[in-house]
Amino acid sequence: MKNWLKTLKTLIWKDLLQEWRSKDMLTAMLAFAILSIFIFNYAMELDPRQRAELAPGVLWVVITFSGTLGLNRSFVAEQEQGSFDALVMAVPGLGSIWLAKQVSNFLMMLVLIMIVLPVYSLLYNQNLFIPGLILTLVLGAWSFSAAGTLLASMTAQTRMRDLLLPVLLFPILMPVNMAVVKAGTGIMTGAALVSYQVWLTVLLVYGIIMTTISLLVFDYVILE
Amino acid sequence: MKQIELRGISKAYGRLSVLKDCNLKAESGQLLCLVGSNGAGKTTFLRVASGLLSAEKGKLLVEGDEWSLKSTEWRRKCALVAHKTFLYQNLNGLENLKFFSGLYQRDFSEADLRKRLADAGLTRAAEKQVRTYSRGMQQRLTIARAMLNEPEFVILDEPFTGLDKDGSAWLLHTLAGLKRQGAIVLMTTHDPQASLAVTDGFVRLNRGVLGEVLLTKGKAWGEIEPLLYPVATFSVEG
Repeated sequence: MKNWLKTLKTLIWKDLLQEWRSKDMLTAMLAFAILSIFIFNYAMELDPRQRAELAPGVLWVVITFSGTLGLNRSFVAEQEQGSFDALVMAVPGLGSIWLAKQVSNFLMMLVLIMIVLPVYSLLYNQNLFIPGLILTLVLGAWSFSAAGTLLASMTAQTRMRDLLLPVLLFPILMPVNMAVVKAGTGIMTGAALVSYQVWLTVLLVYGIIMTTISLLVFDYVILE
Repeated sequence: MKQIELRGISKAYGRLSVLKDCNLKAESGQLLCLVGSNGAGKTTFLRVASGLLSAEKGKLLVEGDEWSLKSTEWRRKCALVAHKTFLYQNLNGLENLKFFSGLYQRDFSEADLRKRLADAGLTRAAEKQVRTYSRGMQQRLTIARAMLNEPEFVILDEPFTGLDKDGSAWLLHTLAGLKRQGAIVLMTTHDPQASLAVTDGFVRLNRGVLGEVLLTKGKAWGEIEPLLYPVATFSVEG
């Protein structure tokens, strides 16, 4: 277990250092996210009540679409020089490769959320720094990156990966999308916790299930 | 590992049969050189042997015991130098070695890693990002990276690619050292004569069929060449 954690730490260190130097993922994600928020801002003339209802949906669309761009870039370093093979040969358990990539992608999503929230708040004149909403987005981001990392590892080996990833990912993410939007809207409109509690549970359970499935099937995905 | 045997290895891509019932036995301290035309299946054979690619049929015997080619234990006993360098381009030479030694749970100090870089002739490039390296420098680092886990089975797919004269000499020296330590080395090359000094046997892969091992002991290249290439061919197999 100690070795496994050490391997995980080493893999995450590598991913973050690579990203710090190349900024492959963050540049694409942030540019798309900020542009999208600007476009939505000009496209929708809304009163304060409508803004509160729509904010979680708009925010989540921006986050998932930007996140997909990032996921597509997350295996670039491994594709460039085939280093995925070297990882497979070196690590004691293949699941650690998936988990490290998942943690790195999740951290990128958190950075994205941390930047998107103030920009959105400023442009729409709306306070989004509500603990419940942040928790919902964080849970959603974990589920999104869990499903996305597994699919990105599969599509990374294909020529049509840029097209294939969103086509495969968005149907799988339907429960997450619904749960984030429904729970977010409940929080933003000040509804009682019981009215959206079930969606938070959906998010939590989805995250746990997707993480478990990914850890179980990653060996098969990579070696077959 | 005193002896390994790959028995009855077959691999197909769809209807294209790439490896047909290939058998190979190698012993500790032995270096076997796999030769064959382009498209003969050499790289596929090496990838199957390293556990990175599944074979339809065949098994691996280590000292007579059957092992799974896809097991973690087997993969971690192997080292692979392939066409691609497996290096991270945005990390420097030292960071690449530090990263892979971490994965192998080898606690090398920075001085140890610098010594390995120095042995590979990369002292001055240690802090430079790999993307700034020439092809030959990357190949040297690739070989240094592959040796980090003190492998028992070393697989080299055309390792002389990009190496200059000094680099080739260093590689031959490294291979001789691996043999002394008892490692089994399986290598492909398009210039078998260059590696004759360290090669114990040649084996030819022809249209997916692996021939008998031709031992080199006491033979000059002039004797080996006609046996290895009985008919001159300019074709590419596919």
